[in-house]
Amino acid sequence: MIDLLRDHKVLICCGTGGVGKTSISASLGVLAARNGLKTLVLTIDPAQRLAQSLGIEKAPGGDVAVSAQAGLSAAMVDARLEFDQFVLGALDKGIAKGLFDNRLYQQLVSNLSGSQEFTSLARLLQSHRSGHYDLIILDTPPTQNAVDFLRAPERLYALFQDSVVGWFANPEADEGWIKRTFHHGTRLVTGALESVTGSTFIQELRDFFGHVAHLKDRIAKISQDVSTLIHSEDCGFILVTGFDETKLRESLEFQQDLQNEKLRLRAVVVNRWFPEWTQGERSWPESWQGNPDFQVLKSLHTQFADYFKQRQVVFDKLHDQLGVSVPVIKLPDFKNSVQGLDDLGRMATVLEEKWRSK
Amino acid sequence: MPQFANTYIWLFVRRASSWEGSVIHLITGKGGVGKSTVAASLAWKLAAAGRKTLLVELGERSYFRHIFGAEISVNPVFINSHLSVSRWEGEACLREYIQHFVKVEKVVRLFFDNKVMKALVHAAPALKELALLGKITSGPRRVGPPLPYDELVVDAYSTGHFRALWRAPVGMAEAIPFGPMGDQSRSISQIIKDPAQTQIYVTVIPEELPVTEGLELARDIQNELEQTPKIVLNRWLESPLTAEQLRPFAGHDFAAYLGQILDRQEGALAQIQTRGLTVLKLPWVFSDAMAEKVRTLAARLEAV
Repeated sequence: MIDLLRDHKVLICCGTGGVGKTSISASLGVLAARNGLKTLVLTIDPAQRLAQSLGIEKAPGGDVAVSAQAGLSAAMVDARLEFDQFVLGALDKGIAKGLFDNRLYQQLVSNLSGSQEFTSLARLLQSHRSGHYDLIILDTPPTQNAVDFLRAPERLYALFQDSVVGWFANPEADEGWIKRTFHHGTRLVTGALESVTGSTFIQELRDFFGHVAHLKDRIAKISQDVSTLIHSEDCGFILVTGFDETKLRESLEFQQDLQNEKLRLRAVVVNRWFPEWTQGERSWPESWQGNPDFQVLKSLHTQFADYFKQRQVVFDKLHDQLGVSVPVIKLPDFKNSVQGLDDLGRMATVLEEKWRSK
Repeated sequence: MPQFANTYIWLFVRRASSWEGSVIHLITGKGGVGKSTVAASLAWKLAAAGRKTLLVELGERSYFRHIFGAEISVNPVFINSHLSVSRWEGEACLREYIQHFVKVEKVVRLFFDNKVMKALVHAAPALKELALLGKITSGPRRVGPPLPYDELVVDAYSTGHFRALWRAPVGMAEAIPFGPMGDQSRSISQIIKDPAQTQIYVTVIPEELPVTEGLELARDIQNELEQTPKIVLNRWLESPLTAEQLRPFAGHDFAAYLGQILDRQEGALAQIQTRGLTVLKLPWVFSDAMAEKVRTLAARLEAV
């Protein structure tokens, strides 16, 4: 496992929602730091207790050294904050203020699907360049599609292409934005847009584009650099999945997405595999035989064991379809949610054990 | 642009019909808590009770095809006499919306084939969210093509994305005071804020993270949509043994495992109840056979 950590500058944990990506990311961070790598874990929306144990709950945005684990830092990416900072760094004060005052900006930035993705990738790039870390582990927001996330900068850039900006933003000519578009087809389209949305909306939109037009080059650069980074040898992907049919199916699709994009899948972590009691036989004490509740307990035991056996069958079937030769690590279902630093440490140890015996 | 003067008027022409519009059910919850299964079960139950029901999933990938064994797209797939299933994508909804008002097919095509519009639709996504909620609420608002169903059950994204979904019209209504965009946003907000027309269900399972995240969402819904969601407590273990009865077997790892589950679910229930929210408990079904699971859960919802 440590080789995997050592061989990459960036590891991206992806997967659908509710599979424990954040805990796995943080545990990998603990493991890397234990092995002497200066590590940063970038997370999006950690559970409160996990944020507390990492010490980042009161410091959205900044890198925080995790006090209980030497060599480990963590940061919580706050899309709104990050985007505002990005704007401030890229534009002069007057234009930035004009943008912040735009009503659409306020609406779009916090809810812009893609702004969370964009800012965390931009942040990844920035941390990677800082040279402060041997390894950066990125926890991704849940998406239906693995690649959607990675395309966010590209999509955002598309918005700033000359044609778009040219359409809406023209601070010089205030009159007749429809008139300015000479092409008949384009005129029809702009007319349609205005009739469907209204002139107030178009006014805000123009104001918005008038300001963000200045961000174009910066976003293009980020979009390009992110793409170079994630396609490079330095960057590996870890697919995190759960142990039920739906999640396994979804992760098959994810794996396909990564393959299509020629991204390097390095490991699959199946989180919350069997609970620990299902591993190995454990006999029941003789003395319990007379207790009527014991019979109930035993039949419950059978019910649970059958249930997990069913899942094993599904897993085997889907595992065969995985079709790639990457290590599959199965983590047991820790009975409690993994949130304290102790839990993360324990999970890190198990991760390493399972990797060795894979 | 004379041809568009008409369009503007169209926005305010209501469909002439006596149709009251369907009741909207929005189902959300943290990823991995089974909200799609809950949505399917609720739809199944409503259909079984004789209501014409449309079950809707949002986005590019279909989950319901695994349950119903059919490809699901925008055209409703007939499951039984009362239940149909459909999958809606933001862009397609936007197209339908624009088509409805702009009428001229050529313009609609130009609109969507246009590079600039494509970029705008992809990256300025409040548009997609607006179009989706616009379609979801189109029945009661009587705009757009008719949706002849009594009940509309929507598998409405996990918590984060669900917030973005409703905040699109609510925020846009505030940001854009005049014009069709603002008007549409206001009328959408009105429908989703009205508990008689829209019911919201937050799905949780008895574990700390899903409950905490679900309750945070419930609080935001109460504050921002001014209505109270129901909490669906999914995967509740109906144990024939109480924690008390398990005590003599302490020390055995399976008994300990059960004990922890029972503790955790009592804790979760108490946490929800202190917030004064209505809880619908759904049992842990010991099967991954999805169609069977949906039927079992639907029967349980029936009893509620």
